[in-house]
Amino acid sequence: MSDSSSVVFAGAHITVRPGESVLSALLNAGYSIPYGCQSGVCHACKLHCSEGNLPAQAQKNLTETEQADGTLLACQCYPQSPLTLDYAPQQAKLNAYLLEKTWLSEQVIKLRLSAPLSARGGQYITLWAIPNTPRCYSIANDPTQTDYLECHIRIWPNGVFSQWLAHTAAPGDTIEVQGPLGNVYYSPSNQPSSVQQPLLLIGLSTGLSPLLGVIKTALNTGHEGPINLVFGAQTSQGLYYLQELSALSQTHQQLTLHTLVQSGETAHATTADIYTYCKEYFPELDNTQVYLAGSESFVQKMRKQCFLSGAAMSAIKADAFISHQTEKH
Amino acid sequence: MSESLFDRIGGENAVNAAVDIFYRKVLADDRISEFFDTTDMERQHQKQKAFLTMAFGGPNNYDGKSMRDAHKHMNLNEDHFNAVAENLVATLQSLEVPQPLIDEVVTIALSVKDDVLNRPADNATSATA
Repeated sequence: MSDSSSVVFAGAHITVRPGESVLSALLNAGYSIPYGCQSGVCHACKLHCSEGNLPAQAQKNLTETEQADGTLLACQCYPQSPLTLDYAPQQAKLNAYLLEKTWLSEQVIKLRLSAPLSARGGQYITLWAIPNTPRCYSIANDPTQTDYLECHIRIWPNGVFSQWLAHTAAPGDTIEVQGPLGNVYYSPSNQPSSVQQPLLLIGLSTGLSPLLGVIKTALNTGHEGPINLVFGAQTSQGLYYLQELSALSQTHQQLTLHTLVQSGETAHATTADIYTYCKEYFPELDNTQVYLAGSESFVQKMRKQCFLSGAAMSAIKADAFISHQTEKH
Repeated sequence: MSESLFDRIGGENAVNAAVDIFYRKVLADDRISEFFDTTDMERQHQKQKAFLTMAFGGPNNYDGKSMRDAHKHMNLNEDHFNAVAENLVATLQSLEVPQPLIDEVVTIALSVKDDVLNRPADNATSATA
């Protein structure tokens, strides 16, 4: 596209090749910049811009205050013009204590941490348990009603964080926490009708966790409208928390649970393609608040499907889970 | 004394009411859906809000050059432009916007046609906001 732009970082000129992000350029130049997802989600790579015009993408999903301050995400910054950048003022990392660690299934651990910050169910926090390895997890409870934050963490065989959690972490351990971030949370408008509004929550695998945070908050707040939760996984191995979900739907009339597996037969779930199922059972989503969580491709596809089924774009809230498995820099 | 088109049509509320309807229509229109069917729907939605705001006579940062640059690589022709205009009109009709206001919106849309299609301007005046 254009020639490389002139970028100054911490007083020194750095070379940013066309099509290269500032993060990549800085890491190549030997700077130790914290980073995580490289997708604009975890916000570990925040920097500060004192001069120049930042491309919109570099500030996407930052708060208005942050945008006005000149904060940017290095992994999303592809300079179009000269920029003067520096390290960001330290973001508060607070100490949380590991309260409980329980296996919910062979693949998922329930982690409870003391809550050093206030957050809403469904938002996500960044955990810095291992140096230079930030990981984001959704809050699966309603923290306004408890003194802990609960996360459901998928354990990957080669996952640095998940293996630490599975084999080393113990109650009493200190974990640094940042956040919360994310717009997947229960937020009824001021209109009285919003308490009656149908909610549709669709999640794959541990995408269930932010949706649980939203549901628990909605129920605690007295949401009256129908709440439909569609929880899917490739096979029954990916399902978890089924007993607790069943108990929740029995206690609360307005909650209906739909459990799906893509393949294999199981007594616990319906075997179906999640897109076909949702199109069939929820063909019209006008006035429905939709929450989605799962992989990037799932979120994109389901968002489009729900939008075309009549859900307002502004009524669709989604969290795309980033996989760190292929992370190389 | 006279209100602007943007005020008469309903300002930002009108844009918000129109954008989802317009977006669904263009996604369903085979003549132009490829231009709108992107994976980043939120960004596409933002672009359409900006476009509708401009078309409704509202505040915008568009100028002739930026319109040309944004659309040049798409190799658009008259049919593409007309398809978008049709969907815009259909959107406003479904919202029961009075025909005179629809006509004013179409006039604004036509004013950027040469830029969007990257044609030489018919006359010396360029379309600036």
